[in-house]
Amino acid sequence: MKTGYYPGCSLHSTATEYNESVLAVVKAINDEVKEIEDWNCCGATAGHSTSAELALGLPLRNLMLAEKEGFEELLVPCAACYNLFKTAQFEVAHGQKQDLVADLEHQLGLTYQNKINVLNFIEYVLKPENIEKIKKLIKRPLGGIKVAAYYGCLLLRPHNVVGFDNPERPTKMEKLLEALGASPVRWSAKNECCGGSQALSKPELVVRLVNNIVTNARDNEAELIVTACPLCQANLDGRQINWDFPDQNKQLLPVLYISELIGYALGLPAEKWFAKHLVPPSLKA
Amino acid sequence: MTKSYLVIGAGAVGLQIAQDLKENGHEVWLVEESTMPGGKFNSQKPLEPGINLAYFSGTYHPGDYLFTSKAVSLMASKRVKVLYGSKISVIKEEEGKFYTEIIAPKENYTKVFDGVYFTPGFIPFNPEEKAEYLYGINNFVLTGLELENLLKTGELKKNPPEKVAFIQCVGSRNNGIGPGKPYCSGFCCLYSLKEIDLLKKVLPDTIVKVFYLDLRLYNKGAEKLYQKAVENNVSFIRNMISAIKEEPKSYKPIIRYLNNGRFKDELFDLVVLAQGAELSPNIKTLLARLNITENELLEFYGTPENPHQIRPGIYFAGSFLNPMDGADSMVSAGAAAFPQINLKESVQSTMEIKYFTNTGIIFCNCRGSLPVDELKGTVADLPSITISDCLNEDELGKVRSFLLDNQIGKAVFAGCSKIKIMPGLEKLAYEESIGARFEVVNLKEQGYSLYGKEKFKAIAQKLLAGALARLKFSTTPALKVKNDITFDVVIIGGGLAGLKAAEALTEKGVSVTVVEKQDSFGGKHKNKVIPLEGINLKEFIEKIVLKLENRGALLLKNAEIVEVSGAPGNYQLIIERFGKRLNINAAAVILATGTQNSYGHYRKTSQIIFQEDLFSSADLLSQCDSIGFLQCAGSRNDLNPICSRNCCVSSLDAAIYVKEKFPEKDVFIFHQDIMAYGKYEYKYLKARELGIKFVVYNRGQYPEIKSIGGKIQVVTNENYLDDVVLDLLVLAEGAVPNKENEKLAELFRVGLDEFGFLRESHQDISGGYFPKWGVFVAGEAQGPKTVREILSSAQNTAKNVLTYLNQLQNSQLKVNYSEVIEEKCAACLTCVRVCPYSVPVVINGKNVAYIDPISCQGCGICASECPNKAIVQNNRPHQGVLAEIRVLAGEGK
Repeated sequence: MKTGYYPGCSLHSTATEYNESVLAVVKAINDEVKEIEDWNCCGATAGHSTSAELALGLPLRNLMLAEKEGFEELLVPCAACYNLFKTAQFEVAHGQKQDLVADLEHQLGLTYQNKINVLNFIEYVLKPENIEKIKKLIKRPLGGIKVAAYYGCLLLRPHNVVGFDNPERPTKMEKLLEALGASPVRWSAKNECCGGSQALSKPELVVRLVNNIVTNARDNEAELIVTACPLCQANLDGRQINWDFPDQNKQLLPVLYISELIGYALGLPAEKWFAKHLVPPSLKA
Repeated sequence: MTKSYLVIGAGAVGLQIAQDLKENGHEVWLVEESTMPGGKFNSQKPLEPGINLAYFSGTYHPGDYLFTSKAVSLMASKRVKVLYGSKISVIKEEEGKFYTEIIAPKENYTKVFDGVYFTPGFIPFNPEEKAEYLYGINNFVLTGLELENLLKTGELKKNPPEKVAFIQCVGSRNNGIGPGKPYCSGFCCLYSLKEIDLLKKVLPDTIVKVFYLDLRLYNKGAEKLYQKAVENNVSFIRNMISAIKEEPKSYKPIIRYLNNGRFKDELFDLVVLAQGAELSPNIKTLLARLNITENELLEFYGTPENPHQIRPGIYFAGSFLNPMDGADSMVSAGAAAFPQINLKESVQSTMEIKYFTNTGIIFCNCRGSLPVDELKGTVADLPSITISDCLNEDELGKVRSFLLDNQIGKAVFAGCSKIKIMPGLEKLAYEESIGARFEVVNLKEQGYSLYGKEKFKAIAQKLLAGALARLKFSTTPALKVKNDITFDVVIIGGGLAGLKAAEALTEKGVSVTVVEKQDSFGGKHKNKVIPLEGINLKEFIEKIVLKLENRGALLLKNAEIVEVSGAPGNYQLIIERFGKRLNINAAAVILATGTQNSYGHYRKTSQIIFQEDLFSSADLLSQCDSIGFLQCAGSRNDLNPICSRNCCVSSLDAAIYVKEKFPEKDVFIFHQDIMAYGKYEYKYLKARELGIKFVVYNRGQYPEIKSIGGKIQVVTNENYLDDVVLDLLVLAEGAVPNKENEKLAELFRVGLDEFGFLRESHQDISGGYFPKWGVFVAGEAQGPKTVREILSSAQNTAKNVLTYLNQLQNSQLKVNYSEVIEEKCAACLTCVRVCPYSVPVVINGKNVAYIDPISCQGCGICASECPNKAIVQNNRPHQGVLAEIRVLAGEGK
């Protein structure tokens, strides 16, 4: 299976530890992914909030390039990129977008068949062959550490478009955590809003939302939170130590990318990824 | 012509339809997936108001009694085949015939039918599909049925919850993405209120909050429950709950809702989900074989003439047709059966009755639960038989051969209750022309359940001996024929219901007189030209009147009924018209007096009008740019507490009509709860899609209406909305019981309910019958209805009248009636006064009372009240009762 890789802007900047850990895990299980050549913005946030055409055109160009390179599946770790790609595929399949596609094909000199299987990192890891390899390669069992799996919104909704897990009661990350030897906690905030990009325009709102999520995880005895979205990670990790955080006296919870935790369990050098976190992960090397 | 019909689903509706078809001579196969008849009435005991006895009674409840009895008497007939635990595997339509294959537990059948009735009801929505409510994960989240079960077993009392939340519309009214149906399931608001009522009875201090979208308490019984809930401090909060969260560690449910514009997180000890209705997947498969898609069914509305028939030969009824409560289901059953019911040719007796002399005992071990074998031969040395199940054709067949082979003319049935089994036994004997009399001993409920295993034998022996003693004195059944019947039906009230009933009856060849007090027909709907539920009522009514005139019906305007005498089958009515008196004889009378409009505290102005004005002239609409509808102007207030049902549907129809014709006009609807129950929800959805604006006001807090500068200003309490300025405001008038009802009730000796509507014998399951024979109710006289419901009710009543006329004119093998011993009678009128069915009359000239055996219902009240013991109840004469008492008291032993 030829798998393409689309890092997007976050994984090349604020979330380099996500990028590094994903690629390290892929390597560790002896798989290979290849970054799409000449990829562009996925269309998220700035793109899709200004133009409906950009919101489709940008991801479609990436998908066309991926098809040109002959990828059958595409690993997209960033939840926002994943969501945009899935939406573009859905619109092409159901939304009468023949004109737009024809236009793009003409301008780019490419053809498009809308057939690549777009995967987020959880889906990728949960592929039977991958999870089996991971189970066998575990070097640092997690010893029942209590982990809160945080999904956010982009991985789950709209459900009819992304089709990944039950949007109201997701459980796939928990399955993964159990395979790693961790104990996922039962908690209620796993699909609550993290505040998203309101972090810049309304920070006080995001502090409140993050507080709700982290408090709920902590009250359910979680020792750390895992996520698969750069924006969620940034908000949950970063807004906990905000100066007006209402719960300053409480112990802060580290927020890891799911790939970092897998990498840690596989005995990969996780410490350099952890160094980028504002709340230092308490996992011992 | 006799035809054969397949009825799918033996719930309340299926049983009723099967019975009506069978009584009319058709062959009926009733196929039921479960192992018992009665459907939801049976399994979900307190689902409907009225069957409240079910609450604490454990195993027995009237639903069970009623439907077992109906099923047994159906199965006793050879024209009927009832298959439980069975499925239709193939159904194919070819040239109006339906070719089917049926898989039953013992045998598979191939059979051709002339028509199919779909009456499978619904299955409850599985709340696990709505994962946000954590059902199946969180132990504090239950369905209503589970709560009920905890209450019955006493579990809940051991660990009483302090706070309970009810979430409505789980799986219903979902028009977005995710699981759930777009329609309203109709009965869940009522159902939750019943659960709350039950909960409050057991645990009065529990705090209860109900989260709802609209409280659709449209039936008159529901209003009582609502008032009671309010008295019990139940809070009703209009809020859609998007998810249930859990309190850390305890996992108790937390509900987030809007409270005065702010979010509030509230912790509860229990959350109860009101499941909606869904179609069973098996039924969907069957429909697909007939090329009917689920959407086609969901959108199926029928024509006003034929609301139940989707294609020739395929009928839908009950909550399968449209989610509805028990009362409406029974009406729907009758209306759906109506096309196949005909006035039978008078079949006076040519039947020869076999009178056998032997006595026998029929034991039933009730599916192995009663140790009847230990009684065999211990009481009397008589031929006996043991069956194991009364709901089994083969077992009933054994009873049939037992009677014939042993020439049994008197038999004791020793098993369960008389109510369940007696009609079936009598039916069975009648079909074989055996003049047998039966006594029933309830070994189950009066023996085994009461005294337990150890004492069972001794008690059962005594009961059995008593019944045998009683049996010696009961009289042989006789073939009775009613003479002197007229076949005219008089309908009082020439509104929509009366006219529709008249149309239906004249179609079947019954001659009809319609008596209307006013000087025109059509009642309050007569001038409505804007389509209401797809009907131009003005034209519709004119057409019916014309049809009735052509069919020779006697239509009397300006006429009023002043006196009633006679008995069922032969009523003499005196009608006053322009000061003159007119005598009319009638076999049956239909009371269709409708309702009167109630305008609340409102007055009309040039810009504030009522619905009736709006519907009568389409011009009004074109003259204004903005129009508003104020719902419940004349109902759900201090003057008229109950919902009038028709007004929300009317406003929705009118608003949609305006918006479709003039999309640029602003349309507002101010409402308490939009009563778009069942499939009416689609109207509500359409209205919203069209951009009609809905503004909620709280019950009893009508928005203030001001007249400013030629405009109407409606002051709303909504902080998102400025006051609304309108050119025209339409007030929704309500419906109150007709003032005539009191007079009619007295004349015809029927009851009124607490609101002043005519009272049926049972609000939920009677299907439009009064306890009294020969007098019927149709339309809104019984309670408020929408136009389609009025038409359905009229058609159902026409069916009831036809069934009654057929019973009247045909000979019957009667044993269950009272007889007057003329020599002893002093014509004191006691029986005339006490009879709840007004059957006894004093014969002119003879000065003795006469009880018509066909009309007599056999209740025995007259026999016990007669001061001179001049009345004998034939199946239970005094000597028999005394003989039984002697045995039971141990005398002579």
